[in-house]
Amino acid sequence: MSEASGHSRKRVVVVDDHDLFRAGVRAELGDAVEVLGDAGSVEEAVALILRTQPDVVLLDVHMPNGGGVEVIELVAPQLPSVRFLALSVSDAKDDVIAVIRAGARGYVTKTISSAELGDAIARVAEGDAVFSPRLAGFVLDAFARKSEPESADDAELNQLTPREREVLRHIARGYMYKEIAQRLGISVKTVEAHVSAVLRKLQLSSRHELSRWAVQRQLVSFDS
Amino acid sequence: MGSPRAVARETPTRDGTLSGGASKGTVAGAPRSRWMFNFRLGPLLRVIAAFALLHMVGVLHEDGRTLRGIAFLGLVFLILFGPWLVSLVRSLASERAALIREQERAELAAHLHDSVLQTLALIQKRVGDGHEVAQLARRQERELRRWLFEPRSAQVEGSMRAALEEAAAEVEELHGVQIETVVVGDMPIDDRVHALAQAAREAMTNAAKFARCGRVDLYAEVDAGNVEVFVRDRGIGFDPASIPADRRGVRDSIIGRVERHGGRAVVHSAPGEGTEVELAIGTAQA
Repeated sequence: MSEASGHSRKRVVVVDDHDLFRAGVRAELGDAVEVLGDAGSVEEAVALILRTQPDVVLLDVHMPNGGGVEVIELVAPQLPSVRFLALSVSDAKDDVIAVIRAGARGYVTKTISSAELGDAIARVAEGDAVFSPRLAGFVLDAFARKSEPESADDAELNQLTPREREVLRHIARGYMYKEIAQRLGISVKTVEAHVSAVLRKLQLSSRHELSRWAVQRQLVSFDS
Repeated sequence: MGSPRAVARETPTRDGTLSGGASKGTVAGAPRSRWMFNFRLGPLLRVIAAFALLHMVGVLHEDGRTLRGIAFLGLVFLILFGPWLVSLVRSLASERAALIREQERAELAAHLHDSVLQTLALIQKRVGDGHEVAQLARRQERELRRWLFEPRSAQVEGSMRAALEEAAAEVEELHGVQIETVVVGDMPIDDRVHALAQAAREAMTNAAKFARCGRVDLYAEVDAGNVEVFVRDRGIGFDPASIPADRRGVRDSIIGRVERHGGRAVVHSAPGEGTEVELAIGTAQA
């Protein structure tokens, strides 16, 4: 995981509608990855990604004329090997969940340190899921415990196992995978497997409005 | 009988001003043209109908009984002015909608002015002090995010989320640390939740003052009437068994405060391992 630098430098495209931010990310990443180019709109991004075929696309959640979801939906059918990592300043839970459901392998906030970002890119390139504390919180909210499952089939996809929940809670508390593995007495690979399983559930779950009833749940607790 | 004619002549003018006013908005075009149609063909028919009615009933003859005359004049008035009154009410409604939109825009502008523009101005002035600029930007980001994305309930004073975020913001500003705050679920504040938030604030303050690292994670979760809060840092850590007697913070402000409300507070730490303070309170009434 720490071989972000060295012989296997990841090839990266940066998509964000803020010039300053794109320049900042390029500068911050420095030599850790190879930045193939950047784009400030959905059309530019799609063309650039199809042309350069990067390992990882750093993707803004919001852009004029459609955001990260559009880029993923336009690129993924043609280039299924490209991985997406959402990177954003501040977004509503529903928007972040939508990008993940569209196929992004993770979500990190722009306040992330350069080293952490380099590590996140390397992980995503290897096919792992990268959950920031904030994303873990969003997902826990989205999968908030329900009173009754709809059906046996749905239940498996629409609910987290106690272990998955425990792993997510640790991420939300600020623990890194290595630390979580240590605390739960499992291997780092197993932690990664749990996070990937959560990601898959999020993407395959039949409940299209996962987060809506999380809001309802909140309202309920305010009513009582 | 000059007045109905005068009105009949007046209506196209009124119609003209209405459609002229509406011509700016293309969306409003379709319904307006329907009204124009009514006014162009309608008045003539209506005037004829009114005359026919008046004639039949005999109002136009001098011997007309006053009451009946008044009633039918009222009917005539409605026939002539009804559509215009309806359109007047409609245009008032759309004007009010426009006014509300304008007020919302003004409110948004005012908010951005008081918050984002002020912060940008401050940042330009203090461009030399990187630390302070980062603090300003971070505070603004947090405030704007809360304003944009959080349900109203959370912005209302008295929610657990609001209390924790406020506490985190205060500690960030006082001690110059970065606090990553994640809250799952929410609930109205009561004495116990208040105590929990105060204890969390103290734990964050300790992390900021003693841990010697720039970042603190705050996580809170409400589940089935139980609230759990975790405050974690990756700093130097300490041996919880050897808290000096004069360090009242941990014993009184964190552990004591939570236990007095029937909750539980545990400090996990070891030298070099960072620190995590775990707070829990059951809010469901026993």
